[in-house]
Amino acid sequence: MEYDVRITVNGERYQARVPASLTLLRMLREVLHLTGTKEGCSIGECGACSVILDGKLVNACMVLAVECDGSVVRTVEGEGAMDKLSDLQQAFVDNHALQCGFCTPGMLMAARELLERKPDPTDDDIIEAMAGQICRCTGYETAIEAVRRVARKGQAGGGK
Amino acid sequence: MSFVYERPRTAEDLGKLLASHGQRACVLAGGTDLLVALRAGHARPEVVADVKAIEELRELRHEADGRLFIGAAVTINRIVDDARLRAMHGGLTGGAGAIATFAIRNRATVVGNVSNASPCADTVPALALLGAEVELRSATGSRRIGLRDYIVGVKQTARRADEFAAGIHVPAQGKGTRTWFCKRQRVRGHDLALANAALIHDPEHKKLRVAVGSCSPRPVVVELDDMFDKPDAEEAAKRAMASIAPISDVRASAEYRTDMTGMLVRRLFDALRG
Ligand SMILES: Cc1cc2nc3c(=O)[nH]c(=O)nc-3n(C[C@H](O)[C@H](O)[C@H](O)COP(=O)(O)OP(=O)(O)OC[C@H]3O[C@@H](n4cnc5c(N)ncnc54)[C@H](O)[C@@H]3O)c2cc1C
Ligand code: FES
Ligand code: FES
Repeated sequence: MEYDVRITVNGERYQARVPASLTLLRMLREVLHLTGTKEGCSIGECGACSVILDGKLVNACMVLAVECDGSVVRTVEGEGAMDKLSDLQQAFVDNHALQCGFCTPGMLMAARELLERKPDPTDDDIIEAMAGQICRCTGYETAIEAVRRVARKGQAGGGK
Repeated sequence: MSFVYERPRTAEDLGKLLASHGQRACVLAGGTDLLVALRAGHARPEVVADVKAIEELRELRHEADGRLFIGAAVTINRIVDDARLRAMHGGLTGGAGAIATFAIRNRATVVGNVSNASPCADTVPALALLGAEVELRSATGSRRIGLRDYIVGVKQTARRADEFAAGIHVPAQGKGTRTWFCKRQRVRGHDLALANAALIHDPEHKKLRVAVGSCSPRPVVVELDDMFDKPDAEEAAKRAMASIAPISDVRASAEYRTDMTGMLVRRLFDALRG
Protein backbone atom coordinates (compact mmCIF):
# COMPACT_ATOMS: atom_id res chain seq x y z
CA MET A 1 0.00 0.00 0.00
CA GLU A 2 1.07 3.58 -0.67
CA TYR A 3 0.42 6.52 1.61
CA ASP A 4 0.56 10.29 1.39
CA VAL A 5 3.05 11.63 3.88
CA ARG A 6 3.18 15.31 4.74
CA ILE A 7 6.36 16.22 6.49
CA THR A 8 8.29 19.37 7.38
CA VAL A 9 12.04 19.03 6.95
CA ASN A 10 14.28 21.89 8.08
CA GLY A 11 11.33 24.25 7.91
CA GLU A 12 10.24 23.26 4.40
CA ARG A 13 7.04 21.38 3.76
CA TYR A 14 7.04 18.31 1.60
CA GLN A 15 4.42 15.86 0.50
CA ALA A 16 5.23 12.47 -0.95
CA ARG A 17 3.48 9.24 -1.81
CA VAL A 18 5.42 6.33 -0.38
CA PRO A 19 4.98 2.60 0.24
CA ALA A 20 4.37 1.58 3.86
CA SER A 21 7.69 -0.26 4.00
CA LEU A 22 9.80 2.80 3.09
CA THR A 23 11.90 4.06 5.98
CA LEU A 24 12.19 7.72 6.90
CA LEU A 25 15.85 7.45 5.87
CA ARG A 26 15.00 6.23 2.37
CA MET A 27 12.30 8.87 2.01
CA LEU A 28 14.73 11.64 2.94
CA ARG A 29 17.42 10.41 0.58
CA GLU A 30 15.59 8.89 -2.35
CA VAL A 31 12.28 10.72 -2.47
CA LEU A 32 13.10 14.16 -1.10
CA HIS A 33 16.70 13.99 -2.36
CA LEU A 34 18.09 15.22 0.94
CA THR A 35 21.20 13.07 0.84
CA GLY A 36 23.04 14.69 3.73
CA THR A 37 21.68 12.01 6.04
CA LYS A 38 23.71 8.86 5.46
CA GLU A 39 22.84 5.18 5.29
CA GLY A 40 25.41 2.99 6.96
CA CYS A 41 23.95 -0.19 8.40
CA SER A 42 20.15 0.25 8.06
CA ILE A 43 19.63 -1.69 11.28
CA GLY A 44 20.01 0.90 14.01
CA GLU A 45 23.64 0.25 14.82
CA CYS A 46 25.82 2.94 13.27
CA GLY A 47 24.06 6.28 13.83
CA ALA A 48 24.90 7.63 10.36
CA CYS A 49 21.18 8.20 9.76
CA SER A 50 20.52 10.16 12.99
CA VAL A 51 17.97 12.96 12.59
CA ILE A 52 15.82 14.97 14.99
CA LEU A 53 12.19 13.84 14.67
CA ASP A 54 9.67 16.00 16.55
CA GLY A 55 12.44 17.13 18.88
CA LYS A 56 13.88 13.68 19.56
CA LEU A 57 17.04 12.10 18.20
CA VAL A 58 16.19 8.96 16.24
CA ASN A 59 17.81 6.61 13.76
CA ALA A 60 15.93 7.38 10.55
CA CYS A 61 16.47 3.78 9.39
CA MET A 62 14.42 2.58 12.37
CA VAL A 63 11.33 4.67 11.52
CA LEU A 64 8.79 4.15 8.74
CA ALA A 65 8.06 7.20 6.63
CA VAL A 66 4.30 6.65 7.11
CA GLU A 67 4.80 7.00 10.85
CA CYS A 68 6.03 10.56 10.24
CA ASP A 69 2.94 12.02 8.60
CA GLY A 70 2.55 15.47 10.14
CA SER A 71 5.99 15.39 11.75
CA VAL A 72 8.80 17.91 11.88
CA VAL A 73 12.26 16.64 11.02
CA ARG A 74 15.65 18.27 11.24
CA THR A 75 18.59 16.97 9.25
CA VAL A 76 22.16 18.09 8.66
CA GLU A 77 21.00 20.25 5.73
CA GLY A 78 19.43 22.52 8.37
CA GLU A 79 22.68 23.02 10.25
CA GLY A 80 24.40 25.54 8.04
CA ALA A 81 25.35 26.38 4.49
CA MET A 82 28.67 26.18 2.63
CA ASP A 83 29.31 29.87 3.20
CA LYS A 84 27.93 29.91 6.71
CA LEU A 85 28.70 26.87 8.81
CA SER A 86 26.91 26.32 12.10
CA ASP A 87 28.90 26.59 15.32
CA LEU A 88 29.10 22.80 15.54
CA GLN A 89 30.16 22.38 11.93
CA GLN A 90 32.88 25.02 12.37
CA ALA A 91 34.06 23.35 15.58
CA PHE A 92 34.24 19.97 13.82
CA VAL A 93 36.40 21.55 11.10
CA ASP A 94 38.61 23.41 13.57
CA ASN A 95 39.15 20.29 15.70
CA HIS A 96 39.80 17.85 12.84
CA ALA A 97 36.73 15.94 13.99
CA LEU A 98 36.17 14.40 10.58
CA GLN A 99 38.18 12.63 7.95
CA CYS A 100 35.96 10.87 5.42
CA GLY A 101 32.94 12.66 6.85
CA PHE A 102 30.48 9.80 6.49
CA CYS A 103 29.56 9.80 10.18
CA THR A 104 29.55 13.59 10.47
CA PRO A 105 25.88 14.34 9.64
CA GLY A 106 24.78 11.89 12.33
CA MET A 107 27.36 13.19 14.79
CA LEU A 108 26.19 16.75 14.24
CA MET A 109 22.54 15.89 14.82
CA ALA A 110 23.34 13.94 17.99
CA ALA A 111 25.45 16.84 19.25
CA ARG A 112 22.82 19.42 18.30
CA GLU A 113 20.07 17.53 20.11
CA LEU A 114 22.29 17.19 23.18
CA LEU A 115 23.16 20.89 23.32
CA GLU A 116 19.50 21.85 23.04
CA ARG A 117 18.52 19.41 25.79
CA LYS A 118 21.54 20.12 27.99
CA PRO A 119 23.28 23.38 27.08
CA ASP A 120 25.98 22.71 29.65
CA PRO A 121 26.77 19.00 29.25
CA THR A 122 29.37 17.11 31.28
CA ASP A 123 31.90 14.95 29.45
CA ASP A 124 29.84 11.92 30.40
CA ASP A 125 26.75 13.53 28.87
CA ILE A 126 28.65 14.13 25.64
CA ILE A 127 29.99 10.58 25.52
CA GLU A 128 26.54 9.12 26.26
CA ALA A 129 24.93 11.26 23.57
CA MET A 130 27.57 10.42 20.94
CA ALA A 131 27.82 6.73 21.84
CA GLY A 132 25.49 5.73 19.02
CA GLN A 133 27.59 7.43 16.34
CA ILE A 134 30.15 5.04 14.92
CA CYS A 135 33.21 6.60 13.32
CA ARG A 136 35.79 4.51 11.49
CA CYS A 137 38.27 7.35 11.04
CA THR A 138 38.80 9.78 13.87
CA GLY A 139 38.80 7.85 17.13
CA TYR A 140 36.06 10.08 18.60
CA GLU A 141 38.24 12.29 20.83
CA THR A 142 38.28 15.15 18.33
CA ALA A 143 34.50 15.07 17.89
CA ILE A 144 33.96 15.05 21.63
CA GLU A 145 36.35 17.99 21.95
CA ALA A 146 34.45 19.87 19.22
CA VAL A 147 31.16 19.45 21.09
CA ARG A 148 32.83 20.38 24.36
CA ARG A 149 34.16 23.62 22.84
CA VAL A 150 30.80 24.70 21.46
CA ALA A 151 29.19 23.95 24.83
CA ARG A 152 31.86 25.94 26.71
CA LYS A 153 31.29 28.91 24.44
CA GLY A 154 27.66 28.60 25.43
CA GLN A 155 26.48 29.75 22.07
CA ALA A 156 24.79 26.64 20.80
CA GLY A 157 22.41 27.46 18.01
CA GLY A 158 22.37 26.53 14.36
CA GLY A 159 23.96 28.71 11.71
CA LYS A 160 20.69 28.95 9.90
CA MET B 1 7.95 -6.36 1.40
CA SER B 2 4.52 -4.83 1.05
CA PHE B 3 2.01 -4.30 3.82
CA VAL B 4 -0.84 -2.13 4.96
CA TYR B 5 -0.01 0.37 7.71
CA GLU B 6 -2.74 0.99 10.25
CA ARG B 7 -2.67 3.62 12.96
CA PRO B 8 -5.73 3.00 15.15
CA ARG B 9 -6.73 5.79 17.54
CA THR B 10 -8.32 3.60 20.17
CA ALA B 11 -7.59 0.28 21.80
CA GLU B 12 -10.97 -0.95 20.55
CA ASP B 13 -9.98 -0.28 16.96
CA LEU B 14 -6.69 -2.09 17.45
CA GLY B 15 -8.60 -5.04 18.90
CA LYS B 16 -10.88 -5.10 15.84
CA LEU B 17 -7.93 -4.97 13.46
CA LEU B 18 -6.30 -7.94 15.15
CA ALA B 19 -9.60 -9.80 15.27
CA SER B 20 -9.86 -9.63 11.49
CA HIS B 21 -6.19 -10.03 10.54
CA GLY B 22 -4.80 -12.17 13.36
CA GLN B 23 -1.70 -14.07 12.24
CA ARG B 24 -1.28 -11.82 9.22
CA ALA B 25 -0.80 -8.73 11.40
CA CYS B 26 2.18 -7.43 13.40
CA VAL B 27 1.88 -4.97 16.24
CA LEU B 28 4.31 -2.06 15.89
CA ALA B 29 5.54 -0.05 18.86
CA GLY B 30 8.98 1.61 18.55
CA GLY B 31 9.90 -0.65 15.67
CA THR B 32 13.51 -1.12 16.79
CA ASP B 33 13.11 -4.89 16.66
CA LEU B 34 10.31 -5.11 14.12
CA LEU B 35 11.98 -3.00 11.42
CA VAL B 36 15.08 -5.17 11.60
CA ALA B 37 12.88 -8.29 11.28
CA LEU B 38 10.95 -6.78 8.34
CA ARG B 39 14.14 -5.85 6.55
CA ALA B 40 15.60 -9.32 7.04
CA GLY B 41 12.35 -10.95 5.90
CA HIS B 42 11.90 -12.68 9.26
CA ALA B 43 8.54 -10.96 9.61
CA ARG B 44 6.24 -10.86 6.57
CA PRO B 45 3.02 -9.25 7.78
CA GLU B 46 0.16 -8.14 5.57
CA VAL B 47 -0.85 -5.54 8.13
CA VAL B 48 1.30 -3.52 10.53
CA ALA B 49 -0.73 -2.04 13.39
CA ASP B 50 0.93 0.89 15.15
CA VAL B 51 0.08 1.38 18.86
CA LYS B 52 1.59 4.88 19.13
CA ALA B 53 -1.52 6.92 18.32
CA ILE B 54 -3.57 5.29 21.09
CA GLU B 55 -3.61 7.90 23.83
CA GLU B 56 -4.49 5.46 26.60
CA LEU B 57 -1.43 3.32 25.83
CA ARG B 58 0.93 6.27 26.25
CA GLU B 59 0.26 6.36 29.95
CA LEU B 60 2.99 5.83 32.56
CA ARG B 61 0.93 5.85 35.75
CA HIS B 62 2.07 5.82 39.37
CA GLU B 63 -0.80 4.88 41.68
CA ALA B 64 -0.92 6.33 45.19
CA ASP B 65 -0.47 2.84 46.67
CA GLY B 66 2.78 2.23 44.77
CA ARG B 67 1.40 0.25 41.85
CA LEU B 68 2.66 1.14 38.43
CA PHE B 69 1.24 0.89 34.91
CA ILE B 70 3.49 1.12 31.86
CA GLY B 71 1.40 1.51 28.69
CA ALA B 72 2.39 -0.14 25.43
CA ALA B 73 3.55 3.13 23.87
CA VAL B 74 5.80 4.21 26.77
CA THR B 75 9.36 4.53 25.53
CA ILE B 76 12.46 3.26 27.29
CA ASN B 77 13.75 6.82 27.74
CA ARG B 78 10.55 7.84 29.53
CA ILE B 79 11.31 5.11 32.06
CA VAL B 80 14.96 6.12 32.36
CA ASP B 81 14.02 9.79 32.88
CA ASP B 82 11.32 9.16 35.49
CA ALA B 83 12.88 10.30 38.76
CA ARG B 84 10.30 8.51 40.91
CA LEU B 85 10.90 5.26 39.11
CA ARG B 86 14.65 5.66 39.44
CA ALA B 87 14.33 6.04 43.18
CA MET B 88 11.87 3.14 43.52
CA HIS B 89 12.98 0.60 40.94
CA GLY B 90 16.68 1.10 40.20
CA GLY B 91 16.82 -2.37 38.66
CA LEU B 92 14.20 -1.45 36.08
CA THR B 93 15.55 1.98 35.16
CA GLY B 94 19.07 0.52 35.20
CA GLY B 95 18.05 -2.24 32.82
CA ALA B 96 16.20 0.24 30.60
CA GLY B 97 19.21 2.58 30.54
CA ALA B 98 21.47 -0.28 29.47
CA ILE B 99 19.52 -0.79 26.26
CA ALA B 100 21.21 0.23 23.03
CA THR B 101 21.84 3.93 22.45
CA PHE B 102 20.02 7.13 23.33
CA ALA B 103 18.43 7.40 19.86
CA ILE B 104 17.14 3.82 19.98
CA ARG B 105 15.79 4.36 23.50
CA ASN B 106 13.79 7.35 22.23
CA ARG B 107 11.75 4.92 20.09
CA ALA B 108 12.00 1.55 21.82
CA THR B 109 9.26 0.69 24.31
CA VAL B 110 9.25 -1.43 27.46
CA VAL B 111 6.31 -3.48 26.23
CA GLY B 112 8.13 -4.04 22.90
CA ASN B 113 11.23 -5.14 24.80
CA VAL B 114 9.20 -7.71 26.70
CA SER B 115 7.01 -8.75 23.74
CA ASN B 116 10.00 -9.34 21.51
CA ALA B 117 10.77 -12.18 23.93
CA SER B 118 14.50 -12.11 23.39
CA PRO B 119 16.36 -13.82 26.23
CA CYS B 120 18.67 -10.81 26.46
CA ALA B 121 15.92 -8.19 26.90
CA ASP B 122 17.28 -5.84 29.54
CA THR B 123 14.02 -4.78 31.23
CA VAL B 124 12.91 -8.37 31.80
CA PRO B 125 15.03 -9.42 34.82
CA ALA B 126 13.81 -6.55 37.03
CA LEU B 127 10.20 -6.84 35.82
CA ALA B 128 10.28 -10.57 36.59
CA LEU B 129 11.48 -9.86 40.14
CA LEU B 130 8.87 -7.17 40.68
CA GLY B 131 6.07 -9.61 39.85
CA ALA B 132 5.01 -7.68 36.75
CA GLU B 133 1.94 -8.75 34.80
CA VAL B 134 1.20 -8.15 31.14
CA GLU B 135 -2.32 -6.97 30.29
CA LEU B 136 -3.50 -8.62 27.08
CA ARG B 137 -6.53 -7.23 25.32
CA SER B 138 -8.63 -8.28 22.37
CA ALA B 139 -11.92 -7.25 20.82
CA THR B 140 -13.69 -9.62 23.18
CA GLY B 141 -11.99 -9.03 26.53
CA SER B 142 -8.83 -8.67 28.52
CA ARG B 143 -6.69 -10.84 30.76
CA ARG B 144 -3.59 -10.46 32.87
CA ILE B 145 -0.74 -12.88 32.77
CA GLY B 146 2.48 -13.01 34.79
CA LEU B 147 5.53 -11.85 32.86
CA ARG B 148 7.21 -15.20 33.28
CA ASP B 149 4.20 -16.93 31.73
CA TYR B 150 3.97 -14.33 28.95
CA ILE B 151 7.44 -15.18 27.70
CA VAL B 152 7.09 -18.83 26.70
CA GLY B 153 10.31 -19.21 24.73
CA VAL B 154 12.82 -17.46 22.50
CA LYS B 155 10.82 -14.94 20.45
CA GLN B 156 7.57 -16.54 21.63
CA THR B 157 4.89 -15.10 23.87
CA ALA B 158 1.58 -16.43 25.18
CA ARG B 159 -0.26 -13.73 23.20
CA ARG B 160 -3.02 -15.01 20.93
CA ALA B 161 -2.98 -13.59 17.41
CA ASP B 162 -6.11 -11.53 18.12
CA GLU B 163 -4.60 -9.96 21.26
CA PHE B 164 -2.21 -7.10 21.94
CA ALA B 165 -0.35 -6.15 25.07
CA ALA B 166 -1.97 -2.99 26.45
CA GLY B 167 0.68 -2.53 29.09
CA ILE B 168 2.55 -3.85 32.08
CA HIS B 169 1.26 -3.74 35.65
CA VAL B 170 3.81 -3.69 38.45
CA PRO B 171 2.35 -4.39 41.90
CA ALA B 172 3.20 -2.33 44.97
CA GLN B 173 6.35 -3.63 46.65
CA GLY B 174 7.14 -4.24 50.32
CA LYS B 175 8.34 -1.23 52.29
CA GLY B 176 11.98 -0.35 51.58
CA THR B 177 12.26 -2.64 48.55
CA ARG B 178 15.20 -1.99 46.28
CA THR B 179 16.30 -3.49 42.99
CA TRP B 180 19.58 -3.43 41.04
CA PHE B 181 20.59 -4.39 37.50
CA CYS B 182 23.89 -5.52 36.05
CA LYS B 183 24.88 -6.41 32.47
CA ARG B 184 27.84 -7.95 30.74
CA GLN B 185 28.36 -6.87 27.13
CA ARG B 186 31.30 -6.26 24.86
CA VAL B 187 30.70 -2.64 23.89
CA ARG B 188 28.29 -0.35 25.66
CA GLY B 189 25.50 0.81 23.40
CA HIS B 190 26.41 -1.63 20.67
CA ASP B 191 25.81 -5.02 22.08
CA LEU B 192 23.08 -7.14 23.39
CA ALA B 193 23.77 -8.65 26.77
CA LEU B 194 25.99 -11.72 26.98
CA ALA B 195 24.53 -12.04 30.43
CA ASN B 196 22.33 -9.74 32.50
CA ALA B 197 20.86 -10.01 35.96
CA ALA B 198 18.84 -8.12 38.55
CA LEU B 199 18.50 -8.36 42.32
CA ILE B 200 15.57 -7.54 44.59
CA HIS B 201 15.81 -6.91 48.33
CA ASP B 202 12.49 -6.54 50.16
CA PRO B 203 13.00 -6.10 53.90
CA GLU B 204 9.28 -6.14 54.69
CA HIS B 205 8.75 -9.64 53.30
CA LYS B 206 12.37 -10.76 53.78
CA LYS B 207 12.58 -11.42 50.08
CA LEU B 208 15.95 -11.78 48.35
CA ARG B 209 15.95 -12.91 44.74
CA VAL B 210 18.05 -12.78 41.62
CA ALA B 211 16.76 -12.91 38.04
CA VAL B 212 19.11 -13.95 35.28
CA GLY B 213 18.60 -13.12 31.60
CA SER B 214 20.36 -14.09 28.37
CA CYS B 215 21.11 -17.55 29.67
CA SER B 216 17.83 -19.41 29.20
CA PRO B 217 14.88 -19.17 26.81
CA ARG B 218 12.76 -17.77 29.63
CA PRO B 219 13.78 -15.49 32.50
CA VAL B 220 15.08 -17.43 35.48
CA VAL B 221 14.34 -16.31 39.04
CA VAL B 222 16.52 -17.72 41.80
CA GLU B 223 15.00 -17.53 45.29
CA LEU B 224 17.47 -16.67 48.01
CA ASP B 225 14.99 -15.78 50.75
CA ASP B 226 16.64 -18.31 53.06
CA MET B 227 19.82 -16.24 53.12
CA PHE B 228 17.98 -12.93 53.66
CA ASP B 229 19.53 -12.37 57.09
CA LYS B 230 22.96 -13.58 55.98
CA PRO B 231 23.48 -12.87 52.27
CA ASP B 232 26.19 -15.09 50.85
CA ALA B 233 27.37 -13.89 47.44
CA GLU B 234 29.36 -17.03 46.63
CA GLU B 235 26.47 -19.34 47.43
CA ALA B 236 24.04 -17.09 45.51
CA ALA B 237 26.35 -17.08 42.47
CA LYS B 238 26.60 -20.87 42.64
CA ARG B 239 22.83 -21.28 42.77
CA ALA B 240 22.29 -18.87 39.90
CA MET B 241 24.88 -20.66 37.76
CA ALA B 242 23.14 -23.97 38.49
CA SER B 243 19.69 -22.68 37.44
CA ILE B 244 20.53 -21.46 33.95
CA ALA B 245 20.78 -23.26 30.62
CA PRO B 246 22.90 -20.96 28.48
CA ILE B 247 23.65 -21.61 24.84
CA SER B 248 26.83 -21.08 22.88
CA ASP B 249 26.40 -18.74 19.94
CA VAL B 250 28.25 -16.13 17.92
CA ARG B 251 28.42 -13.80 20.90
CA ALA B 252 29.66 -16.07 23.67
CA SER B 253 30.10 -19.67 24.73
CA ALA B 254 27.87 -21.32 27.31
CA GLU B 255 30.82 -21.63 29.70
CA TYR B 256 31.57 -17.93 29.43
CA ARG B 257 27.93 -17.00 29.99
CA THR B 258 27.81 -19.21 33.07
CA ASP B 259 30.95 -17.62 34.51
CA MET B 260 29.64 -14.14 33.74
CA THR B 261 26.35 -14.93 35.48
CA GLY B 262 28.29 -15.79 38.62
CA MET B 263 30.29 -12.58 38.29
CA LEU B 264 27.10 -10.48 37.84
CA VAL B 265 25.50 -12.02 40.91
CA ARG B 266 28.60 -11.26 42.99
CA ARG B 267 28.51 -7.67 41.71
CA LEU B 268 24.84 -7.32 42.56
CA PHE B 269 25.63 -8.48 46.08
CA ASP B 270 28.40 -5.85 46.24
CA ALA B 271 25.75 -3.26 45.33
CA LEU B 272 23.43 -4.66 48.00
CA ARG B 273 26.10 -4.25 50.66
CA GLY B 274 26.48 -0.66 49.40
C1 LIG C 1 21.07 -1.33 17.56
C2 LIG C 1 20.15 -2.00 18.53
C3 LIG C 1 20.61 -2.27 19.81
C4 LIG C 1 19.76 -2.90 20.73
N1 LIG C 1 20.24 -3.13 21.98
C5 LIG C 1 19.43 -3.70 22.91
C6 LIG C 1 19.89 -3.93 24.23
O1 LIG C 1 21.03 -3.60 24.57
N2 LIG C 1 19.05 -4.52 25.13
C7 LIG C 1 17.78 -4.89 24.79
O2 LIG C 1 17.07 -5.41 25.64
N3 LIG C 1 17.30 -4.69 23.53
C8 LIG C 1 18.10 -4.11 22.60
N4 LIG C 1 17.62 -3.91 21.32
C9 LIG C 1 16.30 -4.40 20.95
C10 LIG C 1 15.15 -3.41 21.01
O3 LIG C 1 15.59 -2.08 20.91
C11 LIG C 1 14.33 -3.57 22.29
O4 LIG C 1 13.90 -4.89 22.43
C12 LIG C 1 13.11 -2.61 22.30
O5 LIG C 1 12.71 -2.41 23.62
C13 LIG C 1 11.94 -3.12 21.48
O6 LIG C 1 10.87 -2.21 21.63
P1 LIG C 1 10.12 -1.57 20.38
O7 LIG C 1 9.06 -0.70 20.92
O8 LIG C 1 11.07 -0.97 19.45
O9 LIG C 1 9.50 -2.90 19.76
P2 LIG C 1 8.94 -3.27 18.28
O10 LIG C 1 10.09 -3.42 17.38
O11 LIG C 1 7.91 -2.26 17.91
O12 LIG C 1 8.27 -4.62 18.63
C14 LIG C 1 9.03 -5.74 19.07
C15 LIG C 1 8.18 -7.01 19.01
O13 LIG C 1 7.13 -6.98 19.96
C16 LIG C 1 5.86 -6.97 19.32
N5 LIG C 1 5.06 -5.96 20.03
C17 LIG C 1 5.41 -4.68 20.27
N6 LIG C 1 4.45 -4.07 20.99
C18 LIG C 1 3.47 -4.98 21.19
C19 LIG C 1 2.21 -4.95 21.87
N7 LIG C 1 1.77 -3.83 22.47
N8 LIG C 1 1.47 -6.07 21.89
C20 LIG C 1 1.92 -7.20 21.28
N9 LIG C 1 3.08 -7.29 20.63
C21 LIG C 1 3.86 -6.20 20.59
C22 LIG C 1 6.12 -6.61 17.87
O14 LIG C 1 5.16 -7.17 17.01
C23 LIG C 1 7.49 -7.20 17.66
O15 LIG C 1 7.41 -8.58 17.41
C24 LIG C 1 18.45 -3.26 20.37
C25 LIG C 1 17.99 -2.98 19.08
C26 LIG C 1 18.82 -2.35 18.17
C27 LIG C 1 18.30 -2.04 16.80
S1 FES D 1 21.91 3.52 8.97
FE1 FES D 1 20.59 3.87 10.64
S2 FES D 1 21.80 3.37 12.33
FE2 FES D 1 23.04 2.75 10.66
S1 FES E 1 35.03 10.60 9.73
FE1 FES E 1 35.02 8.75 8.60
S2 FES E 1 33.56 7.60 9.70
FE2 FES E 1 33.82 9.27 10.96
